[in-house]
Amino acid sequence: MKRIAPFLIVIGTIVVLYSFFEFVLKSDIEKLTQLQNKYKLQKTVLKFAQENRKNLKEQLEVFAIKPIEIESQKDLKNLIAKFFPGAQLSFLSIAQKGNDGVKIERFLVQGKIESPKEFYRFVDFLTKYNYPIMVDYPITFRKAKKIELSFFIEIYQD
Amino acid sequence: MAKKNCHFLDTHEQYIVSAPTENTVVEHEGWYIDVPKDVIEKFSSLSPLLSPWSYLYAEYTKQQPKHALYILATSNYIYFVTFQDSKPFYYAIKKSQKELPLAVVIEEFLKDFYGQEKSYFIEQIYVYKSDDIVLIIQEDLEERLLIPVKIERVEEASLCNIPHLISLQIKKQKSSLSKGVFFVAFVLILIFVGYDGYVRYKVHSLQKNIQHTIDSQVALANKNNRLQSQLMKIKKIAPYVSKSKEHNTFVISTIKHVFDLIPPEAYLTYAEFHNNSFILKGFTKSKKALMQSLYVKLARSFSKKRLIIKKNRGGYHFEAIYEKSL
Repeated sequence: MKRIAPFLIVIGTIVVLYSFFEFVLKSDIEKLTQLQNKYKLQKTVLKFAQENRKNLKEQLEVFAIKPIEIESQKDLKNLIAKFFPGAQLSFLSIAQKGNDGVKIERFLVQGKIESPKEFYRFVDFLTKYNYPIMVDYPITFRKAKKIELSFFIEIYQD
Repeated sequence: MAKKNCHFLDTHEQYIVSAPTENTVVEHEGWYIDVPKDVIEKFSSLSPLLSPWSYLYAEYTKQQPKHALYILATSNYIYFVTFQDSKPFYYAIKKSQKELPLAVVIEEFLKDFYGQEKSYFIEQIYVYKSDDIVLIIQEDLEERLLIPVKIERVEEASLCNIPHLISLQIKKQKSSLSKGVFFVAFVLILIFVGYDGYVRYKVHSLQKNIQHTIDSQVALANKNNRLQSQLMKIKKIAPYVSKSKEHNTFVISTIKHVFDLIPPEAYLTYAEFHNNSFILKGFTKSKKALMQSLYVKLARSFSKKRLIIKKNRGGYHFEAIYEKSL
């Protein structure tokens, strides 16, 4: 029995190592290989997304104009109220222009001002901050206690 | 080459058996010597070792007398053995005691021996003593025991020539071979387990990295979608913003220009602006000043014009209509 002990140890070790490799190590190595390939793929996808982002930013920088969006009529009312407190905003029509699908909403603004300068400031503000709002005719100033002002605006939305 | 030193396995824990066991360290013809493993390990530093039984058996095979007692006296023990038909017949190990004469110890053994069934009368005693043993006087022993005694000193160098020494060495080699194989096996298993641990660590680390990469991808894709949407909006709206800016600037400059033309002597009560025309209504104290400002200065820009001035108390009511020809 003692004479065959080393031989038994060798056989036992081979069996143990083979079993360990076959049932544990092999699957772990396969899993590692799969994950390494997956990681490479994910890194490539990430790199592509990063390049895409860089490209989009470069395209955006080409446009000097960055319009301020008017998301709702409430936004528009707040903007008008800032320059013409108590003014009335009446929705008139909605239309789509061209093939690009831009929506155009038309409103009538009626308010009271002390001086035409208040109207000038409003229009200058729209111009300075790139609002997609066009002040349109007819524009009327009527002298009463204050100046009664009425004008049309067109808002361009995506 | 260094000279090899052999030593006695000087312990009482060695047994003569008729069949081999797992503790067998020496094989003789038909009989074996067993020594417990822990005892062998204690003596491993003194290897090569020789059992006193093997030594005495070697001496027995040299002489082959029929009825002799073989004694080996070391500093620790006294080994007694009798042989019959090349096999140990009766044996004993007794602790060496300096105060007890060897003759007395031999007498005790002989008493036990003669008590055995099939014992025989001892005709010769061979005493072998190691170097450091106390002086044994042959005449004293013979006088007391009344048996011829032959005393010989054991030469340490001669121990290595005893054939049964080899058995013990082989045993040791076998043991060290097993240990070596076991160690290699253990190291191999350790390497496999360690490598698997490393692989699992890498798998865990990669899983975390992949999840992190996917999260980054999702976040980046959302940002890119927002940018794309923003870009598309800008592409659509930007022309309208430019057009509005241009138009608004023109509207304001037109209104300012017209209002600036109203002379200080006049004021407006109504103004209405259209795309290509405007209407002004108001009051002036000076007809001449109004005519110069409005009529003359706007004549170049507006082809169609009508200015109605009506006299009133203290001044003039006026109504001006200007229109560009299309």
